[in-house]
Amino acid sequence: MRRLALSLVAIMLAAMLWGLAEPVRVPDTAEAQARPTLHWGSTGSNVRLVQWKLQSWGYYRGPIDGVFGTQTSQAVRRFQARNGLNADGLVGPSTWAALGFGSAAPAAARARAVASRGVSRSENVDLLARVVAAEAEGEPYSGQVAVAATILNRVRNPRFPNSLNGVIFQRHAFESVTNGLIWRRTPSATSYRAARDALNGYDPTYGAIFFWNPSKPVNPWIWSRSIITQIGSHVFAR
Amino acid sequence: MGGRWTVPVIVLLLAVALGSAYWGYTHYDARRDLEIAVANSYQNSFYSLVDSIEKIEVSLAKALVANGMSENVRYLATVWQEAMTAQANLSQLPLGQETLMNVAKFLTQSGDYAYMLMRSHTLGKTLSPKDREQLQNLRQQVTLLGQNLHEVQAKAGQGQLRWAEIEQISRKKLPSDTKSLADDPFTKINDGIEKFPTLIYDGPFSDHVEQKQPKGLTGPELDEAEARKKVQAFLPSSLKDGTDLEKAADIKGKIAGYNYVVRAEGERGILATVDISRKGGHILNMINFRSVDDASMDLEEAGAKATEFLASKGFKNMVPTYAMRADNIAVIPFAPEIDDVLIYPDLIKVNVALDNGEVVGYEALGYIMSHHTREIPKPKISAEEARAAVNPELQISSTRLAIIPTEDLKEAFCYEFKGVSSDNEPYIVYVSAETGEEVNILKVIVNEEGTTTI
Repeated sequence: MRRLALSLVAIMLAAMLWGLAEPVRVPDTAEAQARPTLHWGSTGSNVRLVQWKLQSWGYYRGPIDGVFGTQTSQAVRRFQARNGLNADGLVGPSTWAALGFGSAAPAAARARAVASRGVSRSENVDLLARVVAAEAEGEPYSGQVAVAATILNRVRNPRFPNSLNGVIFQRHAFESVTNGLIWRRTPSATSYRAARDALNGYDPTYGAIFFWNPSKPVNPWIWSRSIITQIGSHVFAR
Repeated sequence: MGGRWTVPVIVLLLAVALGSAYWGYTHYDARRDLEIAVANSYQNSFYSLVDSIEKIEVSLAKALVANGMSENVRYLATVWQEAMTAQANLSQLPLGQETLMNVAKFLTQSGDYAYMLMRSHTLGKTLSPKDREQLQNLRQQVTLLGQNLHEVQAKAGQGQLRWAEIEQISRKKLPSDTKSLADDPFTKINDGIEKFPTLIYDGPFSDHVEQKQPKGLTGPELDEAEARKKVQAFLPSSLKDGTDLEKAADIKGKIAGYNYVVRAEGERGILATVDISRKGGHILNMINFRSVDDASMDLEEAGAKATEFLASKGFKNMVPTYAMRADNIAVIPFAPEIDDVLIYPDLIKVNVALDNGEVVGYEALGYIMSHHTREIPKPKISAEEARAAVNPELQISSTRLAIIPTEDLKEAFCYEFKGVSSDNEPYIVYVSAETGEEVNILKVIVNEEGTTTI
């Protein structure tokens, strides 16, 4: 009897672990952007987020439909009044923060990048900073700039997609994109500075299109590329 | 043996087992749905890729038959557009890096070539016999690629193409010679592409851009001791006192050099890094890692500090071209001005900390790559004649001569017109001082961080 019970427990455990083994991760893209100010008439996923939060805290009873209507507006005012905020019914930075959603992008992220590489919008700085944070955490500053510069070199290289997002989201191009790390780590001010320096034309790698950590297992093919230099723990190559 | 607990325990365990089986199944179900969705999107990208290749082939064929330039422009535009679409779809497929890179290069250069031909058509140039020959070859290569892709598509149509397997093959960390897992139909495609000859043309993605050699790398070879001395002399005083200078790495590649790092005496942390070329001992870049926490000067003062700095390093006649700020650091690109002509390709970027005016960043790659003694040409047309090429609605505030870099890394001698459009947006328009044709238009963005252009 004991044995039967034990094996049943073992089977259950196995089943649970199997279920846990492959968690499905969806990048929280809303988190990746600075939160916009919402008002009566706003629509979209950010509104849905506010509605969901207000509902779970008991301020809102309407549908989570992503439309900022009268009900949502009243719920926001109630929430603001209760939390010592100006009850104006607008979801601005302070209300976002009180709802537990800090603006994901630091103020530095709003700075504009120079269009020296055909990559110019400030959203691109955010994306680049995310990859830097995920791929080059703990590296010396120049090593972080180098990772960003390598990505930008790919944009200009005929062998790679011609846009920053194309390069970053290419299948299996970057480990941290494949495993979702770029969405779990919030880029620091340093990551942003590194991304911007690279967009401004700093390239400590002098044209590298590959980088890897030689102490980790990599495709041996990569060693056939010609190595330019090593910065921190990364090797940079063409 | 069994007691009064046997039955309840079995019931409980069965309930838990059923519960977790159901829970596990829903997860499995969700996972399978996602896998199918991913495979479908691969299939979608693949069909779009094949579709684009067909359109490229047909348009190339028509361009070769067409007689008029205006018709040709239409077909070449299709080639360009479809090549870019094909590239975008290709990069969504889970193929091995080598295959991806080779096919992507072929597509980008084909599109780029079609675009450059189209541009020369709009300037009234017809196809040369050389162009026709190259287009003919290109068409054959595209046809071959199309045939190979069709074979794969036939498999895909019968549901025999398993993207999950292709993805696994491409992710295998195997050397390329053991990759003869013949299951991957794309290996064959890659082998075909590798045999294609290189397209010869002038465009931003052509091979000659990558092969460009530095023009400004003058002077004798330096050994490490001499290079070290030069780096030491370049460092600002805040990085000289109480610090260790140490060679960290060699730089190989287009510009051979040494990378030096500055550490606080006896400590691990790096304060700054400096790269110096072996030939001539030119400082390539310097980055001071310190953070700048407040700003006590404006961009104009920072510009003056940067000008002073460049003069002290022996760069005369350098003028700031624009300025922007981020994190209390001003980024100011400088270009030399010779005989009232501003030479934009020879760019040096200087970063100035806005708290004390110290130079915290320096980057001279543009200068090293393109600086040489130039014969400053005389303009063939007058500023008034060039003005005729600019949209009359632009209210022009300043006019000057400049040499600007073009897309294919050549240079153009131009009149630079700064002005404001009728809807009050600032623009810079460049008109060739030799032919009077409009070369480039830049849109100026002015915000609290400074001025930038797109």
